[in-house]
Amino acid sequence: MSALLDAYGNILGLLLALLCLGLIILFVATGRNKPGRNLREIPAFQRFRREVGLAVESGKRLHISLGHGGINEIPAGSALVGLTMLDRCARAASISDRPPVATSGDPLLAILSQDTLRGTYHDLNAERLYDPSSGRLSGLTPLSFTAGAIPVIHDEQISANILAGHFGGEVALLTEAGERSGSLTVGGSDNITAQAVLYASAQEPLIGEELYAGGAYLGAGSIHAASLRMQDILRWLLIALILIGALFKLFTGGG
Amino acid sequence: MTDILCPVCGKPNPPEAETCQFCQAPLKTSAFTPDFDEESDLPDWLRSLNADQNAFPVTSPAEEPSNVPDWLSSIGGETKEKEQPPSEAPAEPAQEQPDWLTDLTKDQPVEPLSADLPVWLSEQAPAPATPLSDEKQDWTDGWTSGEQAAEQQAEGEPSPSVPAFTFDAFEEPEKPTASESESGDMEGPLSTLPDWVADVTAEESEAEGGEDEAALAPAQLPSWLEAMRPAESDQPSTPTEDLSGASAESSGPLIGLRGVLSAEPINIRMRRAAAYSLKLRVTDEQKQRVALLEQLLADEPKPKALPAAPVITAQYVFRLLIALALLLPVIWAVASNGRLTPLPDASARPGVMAMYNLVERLPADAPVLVAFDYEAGYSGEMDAAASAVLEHLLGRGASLALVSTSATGPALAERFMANLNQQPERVNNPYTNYANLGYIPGGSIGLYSLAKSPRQSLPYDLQGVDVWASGPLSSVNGIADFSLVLVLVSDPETARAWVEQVGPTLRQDGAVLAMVASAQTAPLVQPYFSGNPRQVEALISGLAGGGAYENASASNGPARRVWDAYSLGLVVSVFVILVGTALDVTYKALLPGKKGK
Amino acid sequence: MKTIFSLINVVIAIAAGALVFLGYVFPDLLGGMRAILLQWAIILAAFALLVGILNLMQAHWRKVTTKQPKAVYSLVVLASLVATLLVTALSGPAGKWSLWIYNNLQVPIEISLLAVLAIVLAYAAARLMRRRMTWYTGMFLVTVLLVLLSTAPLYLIGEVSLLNSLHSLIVDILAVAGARGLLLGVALGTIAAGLRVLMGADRPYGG
Repeated sequence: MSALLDAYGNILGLLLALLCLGLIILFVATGRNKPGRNLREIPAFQRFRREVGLAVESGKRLHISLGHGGINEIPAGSALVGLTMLDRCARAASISDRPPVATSGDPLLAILSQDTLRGTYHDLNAERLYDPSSGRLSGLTPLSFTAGAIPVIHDEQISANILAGHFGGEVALLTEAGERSGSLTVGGSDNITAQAVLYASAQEPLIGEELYAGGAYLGAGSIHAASLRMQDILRWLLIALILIGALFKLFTGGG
Repeated sequence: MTDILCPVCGKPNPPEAETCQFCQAPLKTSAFTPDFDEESDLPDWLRSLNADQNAFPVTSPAEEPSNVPDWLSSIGGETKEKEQPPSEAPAEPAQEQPDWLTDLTKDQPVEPLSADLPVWLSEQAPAPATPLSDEKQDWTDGWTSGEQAAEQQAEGEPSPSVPAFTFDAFEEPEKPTASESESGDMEGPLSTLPDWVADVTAEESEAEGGEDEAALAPAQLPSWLEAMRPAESDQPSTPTEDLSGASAESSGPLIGLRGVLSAEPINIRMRRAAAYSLKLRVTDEQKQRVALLEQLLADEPKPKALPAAPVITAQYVFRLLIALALLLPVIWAVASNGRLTPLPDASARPGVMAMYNLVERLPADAPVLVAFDYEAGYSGEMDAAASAVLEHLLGRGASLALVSTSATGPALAERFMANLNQQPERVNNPYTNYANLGYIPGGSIGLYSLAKSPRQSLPYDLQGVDVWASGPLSSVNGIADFSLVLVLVSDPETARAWVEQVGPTLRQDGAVLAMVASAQTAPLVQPYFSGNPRQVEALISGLAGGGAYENASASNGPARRVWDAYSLGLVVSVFVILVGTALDVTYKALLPGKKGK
Repeated sequence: MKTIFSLINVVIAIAAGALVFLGYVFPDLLGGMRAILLQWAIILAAFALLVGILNLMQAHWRKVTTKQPKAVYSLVVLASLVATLLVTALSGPAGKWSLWIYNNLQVPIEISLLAVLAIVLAYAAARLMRRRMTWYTGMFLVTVLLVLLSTAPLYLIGEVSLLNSLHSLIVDILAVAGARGLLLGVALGTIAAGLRVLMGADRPYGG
């Protein structure tokens, strides 16, 4: 089995990617006829949507933290999801007096956050709302990034903190700052340690791949819902493969 | 008392007001009811005008022909009134009229009119040409009257006051009689009226005067005109309104008519309109309100600062208590430098023993790649966990190549080595067989490049020396040429990157990958160590692993120094969590109505 | 014009992503192209680091010049940045004074932050039942307590074999299994996110 994987691992990877691509396209095409597909309710996103409205009404702003994971690293997926959520937040809060602010711990991510905000306000014909300082690099190391993001939470009248990206255990300092300032914290990370910390310290944690469902739950487009369905299909497929492999090893006696 | 309505603008005024407060018109005398008692204040011409009004009797509607409309009959009555010679009006001699005007009317024949026609219509027929001197009303008479007044004024005689809109009738009776028309002396208001009106009065006066005259032959009316004739039954035989009590107009074009709105109330004083200032009169109270409104509008786009939350809260106190509960025992344990707690047994930790055996099997001067891929914040744990391993390596004579995928890693590596060399036994014999190759940019991509060719990825060390040209690293052409690749890592993703990017190349050539991971990373790296085949040959997890390694190597490293404080801190943490949880559960159980946050 | 630039951005992103991905699948065919593109990515990342630092300076400078609240801390950041830059440029990255700044400023500060993190985590665990009182929260707390007690020998007591067994069970089996499941889900999400970028549906680059 190992030899098979070593020899044909690349091809298997390509086939997996093509399968995922095909499923996404299929669900996009079929999803047009069923726009009201029910998604499992995730309390974090429910409360997040409500909090966006409250922030607009109360004249406060949203803080979206994208973490310190780079685009060219393994945590790039969570960073991309964070950018999608930043886009949705900016659209939802475009009528607010205070536009949302995005902090990140990676230079590429900071540039992309600025670009995302600029593109969003351009789409809304509200380019006057764009401020380059809304997308900030708050630090270059995980702890310095956290130390730079804490003053944003305390001093800029934040109504809600959305932590969507790659964080480590230091995310507890951000949730603590949010709790001290009386703001809601909705957080998700691809890091296991951070997920455990967020479960213990955040009001609304996103566990596992709930973070990656952010686009679908915030109305980022039908392709996000389609990719969510693709993930569901593949998850069951992996479960089946794991069970089959375990049973195979059990009955063949290992090796 | 009710308000007085102004006869000019119609707006209400207080009863005691004499003039209208809006248009300044006099209020006391009504245009409809001229006040003859005040004639003494009136000028002569106006006084004479009033007299003429009295001289004109109101004809009863019964005397009017039944087939004539009321308004038309009123004109007839007026005409009849005009025919009455004015009792008080001074008769002025006829003025000479221009010859052209005389000639104009000389040859116009007078045709008899039908008795059925309204008076005004029958009189519209070409009137007999009468010399101008025989006609009473003529606008030129009025002209000459005015000239006469001007002459009088020039001579110093008091002339009657002439209103702005000059009607010659103000100087003369406005209703010329037939005799006046015959004399061509039209000195009243009608002196300026058109000819046809003058003809009307002249003809009517002739008709009035000559009742005995033969009736005019009826004209042949066209059928459509006959159809327009109002039926006698439709015409009111009696007026709908009793106008006997109404006063007759004494001036203007409605002269003689009763019950009409006065076109020229005699009390109007044509005067210049009052000038109103364009400057707004703003009171102090209004200014204050304007300022308040401006302030409200200016503050609208400004976000309001929210009130600051109180600093000292119950949560703050609780945090402080927890901090003291954790810090005080740990500080005490460090300060006391006790060694009451034994180090963990290395034999019970396979990863630790694997690492020990790996290092023991290394040949002398073996090139070892050591990656410092942890953050400065974790240096307290990682330094304690890795010190024993690196000391063991250096003790075996290994040549170390220090790299890092973190920007602060090279500095961390230098610090680590400096700390190693500060130990008492190393002060005089510091470790020097290491080269700090610096930072690998690009994260995972950089590791892939390192795995392919470390010489290309890191050609020089931090001092700019080409370490690959000579020395222990001269025999290293690829990453697999290192005897051991030891990664010091605090982040699970970094550990995975090393395993996935560098591991395949190492396994391909039979090289070894080992890790010293922080306690939070070890569970995620454990599968790589526990798997078959192993992707990580040896694993030391956290301070406990370092303590176990120190126990195995019988060294007195930093792990031993902080071990008591570490174990005491763990126990205190458990105690704090238990107490806090118990308090919360008890609080919720005793107060079920309140919702905890 | 903006539409054309957007289209160009999308084409470049999709082409580059597809080439790198296919370079992994067919290393013999497209491995060279993949390596070149990855090198370019590393160089871009380095320049992005410089841009990020400039952005950081700009944000704090703006805070100082507009006299926002607590602008003095931004002034400290700017002064520290400039001083460190000068010292490192003159002394070298492994020079005496560079290491002095790193050893005496950055390391103690980060270690202190991590110490604060330990207290914060203890406080969060102590208040967890107050925040959400459910059975799995209780199970979470029990697991935390067991792992803490079994990580190291107890103070004055030493190692307890029962706790060691529990530690192996929890950390090596249960925690790893749960972590693997979460990581598989994260991997699927990463695949989906990457495919959305390759399809051009997600355009974080301003397309």
